[in-house]
Amino acid sequence: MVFSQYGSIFSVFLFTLLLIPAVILNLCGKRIKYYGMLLNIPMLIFLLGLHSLQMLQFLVFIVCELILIYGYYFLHKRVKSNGLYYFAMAASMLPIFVIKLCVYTPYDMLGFVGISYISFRIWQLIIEIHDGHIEKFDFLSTVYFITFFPTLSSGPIDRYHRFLADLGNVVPKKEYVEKYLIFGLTRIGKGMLYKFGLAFIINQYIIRALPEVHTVWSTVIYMYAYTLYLFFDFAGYSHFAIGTSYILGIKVGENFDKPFLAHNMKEFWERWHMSLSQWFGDYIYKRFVLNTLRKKIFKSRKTASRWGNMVTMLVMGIWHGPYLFYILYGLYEGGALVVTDIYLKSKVYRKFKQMKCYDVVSRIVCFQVIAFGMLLFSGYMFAF
Amino acid sequence: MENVQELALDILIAACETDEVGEDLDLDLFEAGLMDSLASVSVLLELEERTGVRLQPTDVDKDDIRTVNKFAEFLKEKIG
Repeated sequence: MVFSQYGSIFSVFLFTLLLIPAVILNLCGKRIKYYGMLLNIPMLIFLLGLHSLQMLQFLVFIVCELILIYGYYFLHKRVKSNGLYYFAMAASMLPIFVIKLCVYTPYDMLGFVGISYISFRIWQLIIEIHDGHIEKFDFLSTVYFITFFPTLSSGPIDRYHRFLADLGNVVPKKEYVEKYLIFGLTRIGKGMLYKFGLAFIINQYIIRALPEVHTVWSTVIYMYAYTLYLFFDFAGYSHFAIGTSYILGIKVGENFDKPFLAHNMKEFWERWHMSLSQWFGDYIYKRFVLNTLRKKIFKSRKTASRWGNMVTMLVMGIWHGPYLFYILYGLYEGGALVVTDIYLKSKVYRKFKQMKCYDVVSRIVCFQVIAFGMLLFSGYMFAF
Repeated sequence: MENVQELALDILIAACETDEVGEDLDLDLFEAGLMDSLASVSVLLELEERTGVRLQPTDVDKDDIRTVNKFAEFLKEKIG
C-alpha cells in the first residue's frame, strides 16, 4: 500500500506516531541522527511502494546521481575545469528532463514522487562542489540529505550545510521540548486545519461545484478559489513537512510568510514558496546577473537584473512541466517582476507610498496580479 | 587593507546606490529596504573591482551584509 505524503489524516497520524522514538532519544540526551536515517527507509517504502516501478526508478536514480556527485567531487579536486562542471550539471539534469518529457510518449507513467525536489538538492551539491564549499563528504549524511523523507514530495528545499549542522547537534532537552517538539506538533496541527479543513472546504464546495462549461464568471470564481485553495493546501503541506522535520531535529527553512499581505510582486516572492524562490535567487538569478555583468554581456545592472528576472521565472515555470501554460506562467511572473522593478524606482511609487491608502490599495492590486498568475498556473483556461 | 570599515562602507554605498547606508552602521539594510538580491550581487561586483577578490553568491550569507559593521567583520575574515 502506497501513501501519498500527508495526504490523509490517517497518514499524518501514522507518520507522527513514528516520531516518538526521536523524542525519547533526545530526552535521553542522545542524537536523533541515526534514528532519522533508519526511519527514512520504511518511510520511503510507504511513499514509493516496495516492489513498484516508482521504487525501482528511485533507486536507479539515486545510485546514478550519487556516482555522479562523488565522481565530480573526486575529479574537481584534481582538475579545475568548467567543462567538467557543465557536464556534471547536464548529466544530473538529464533524468528529470527525460521523465518530464515522457508525458508526450506512451511511457507517461514514468516518474516518481519527489524527483523535482530531490533534483534541487543534487544540483545544489554539484554547484557547492564547484564553488569549493564542500571539503569532505559523509556518505550516510549525504544520502540522508538527498532523500530526507519529511520534505520529499514538495519541500521546503533545505541547504546542505545547514542540514549537516543540525544533524550533528544534540539539542538540550528543555530547548528541544519547547522549540522542536511543541513547535513541531503545533505546526502539524496547523497543517491539519489548513489542508484537511480550509483547502478541503474550498475545493469541495467552491471549485468542484463550478459548472463544467467554463464561462467568464466561472473563471473569475475559479481564479480566486484556486488561489486560496493552493495556498491552504501547499502551506498545509509545508506545516506538516516543517513540523515533522523539527521533531527529527532538523530546522528546515520556512515556505510561506502571509503571502497575500504583499504590497508588490517582489515582496510576494519573499513571502510565497520562499525556499524555492531563495533557491532560484541564489542559484539562478544572482549567478545570471553576476556572470553576465562580469562578462560584460549587459552594461547596466538594471538591465542584467531584469533579464535575470525573466530567465529565472521562465525556468521556474518550465520546471513545473513541459506545458505551454507553464511557459506562459513563467513569462507572466517574470514580466510582473520587471514591471514591479520599474514601478518601485518611479516617482509615482514614492508619492503613493506616503499616502494613507497605500497599504490597502497596493495589497488589493497585488492580490489581483497574484491570482491571475495562479489562474495561468492552474491550466484552467487551457482545459476545455 | 588600511581601513576595512571604510572599504565595507564604500562597497555598500555603491551597491545600494544611496548614502543612507552610512548614517547608521548597525542599520539593518534588508529591513530598511536598501538591500535586495540585485544589491547583494552588486556587493560582489564592487568587491571584485576594488580588491580583486572573486566570490560566488553563496559565499556571502544574508547576515554578512545585513549591516555595515557586519560586512566589515566579514571582510576582515575573508581578506584579512
